[in-house]
Amino acid sequence: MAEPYSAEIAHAITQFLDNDDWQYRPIDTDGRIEFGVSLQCKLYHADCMILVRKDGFLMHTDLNLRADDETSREAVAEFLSRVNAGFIHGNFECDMTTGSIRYRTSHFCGDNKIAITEEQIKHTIYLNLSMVERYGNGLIAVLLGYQTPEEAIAAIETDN
Amino acid sequence: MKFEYSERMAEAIAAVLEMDGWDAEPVDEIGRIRFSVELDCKIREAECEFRVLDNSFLLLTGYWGITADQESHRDVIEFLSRANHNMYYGSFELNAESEQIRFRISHYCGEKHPQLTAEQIRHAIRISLATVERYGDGLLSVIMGYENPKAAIEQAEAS
Repeated sequence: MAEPYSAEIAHAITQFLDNDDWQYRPIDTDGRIEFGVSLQCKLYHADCMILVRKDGFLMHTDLNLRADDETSREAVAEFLSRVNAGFIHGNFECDMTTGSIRYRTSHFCGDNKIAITEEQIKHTIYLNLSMVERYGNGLIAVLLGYQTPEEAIAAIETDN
Repeated sequence: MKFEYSERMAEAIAAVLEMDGWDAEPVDEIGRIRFSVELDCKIREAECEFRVLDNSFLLLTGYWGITADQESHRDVIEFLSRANHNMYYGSFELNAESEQIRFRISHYCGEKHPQLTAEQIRHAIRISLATVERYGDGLLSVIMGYENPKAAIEQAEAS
């Protein structure tokens, strides 16, 4: 059976991860590459997954947080909706059933897989992590009910 | 002050739009290219706007004349969150001030060796229009209060 992902794109990504000194699990049969990261915010650790497709790839960074009740889920959804509206690349997502939260970036290569560059791979990975670091503490404050979404965003924008 | 955008990228996008028969306005002084499209759903029309930056472009597709209001705000956020959760490319967003709803897709071309193909431009248009059409009726039913967000998403994703 044919692989559900592009070997060329997978090769370009693993080559970048090797050159950039990342420790990761080798790609599985579904095109998933997994690794953990240490973050510069109160969320010390997050799990990352790059999913390679036939025509591109996406990266999810799963936060070790959960909006596990209706009140926190509603506040987190409002917070994420407000921050997402100002982004250029990627977005935060909250699973409205489980309450899990992640950031997603993706890159479409098209049929001409040669078009993918090291710079594009780096951008997709590093931008993803920098957004989690930038908004992580505010997200926790909202999740715990210590700040409203508006207050948390104002605090993040003042800090940066 | 001159706004920095990639003229090369803007030309590539304008050329694809012209070749594919989209009736787009010429690029403006800050790198925007706008056009309207007729949708195949109960929401008749959407407004599309390419925003060309120095190393990337965005395509924003907004439902023309449709906004959430205070009454539907919470449900619309839940609907959009559920819609976004399993997407590969792009996401819906709600402007907290204007309550306008739009779909955003972006492409990073790079700075050192910028790459942009006609296929990548067409992909951004195709995904945006297919997504706003797929979720349009569900969004409308949530704004009107006829469906809860979960049921509206299930219907949209079943079709």
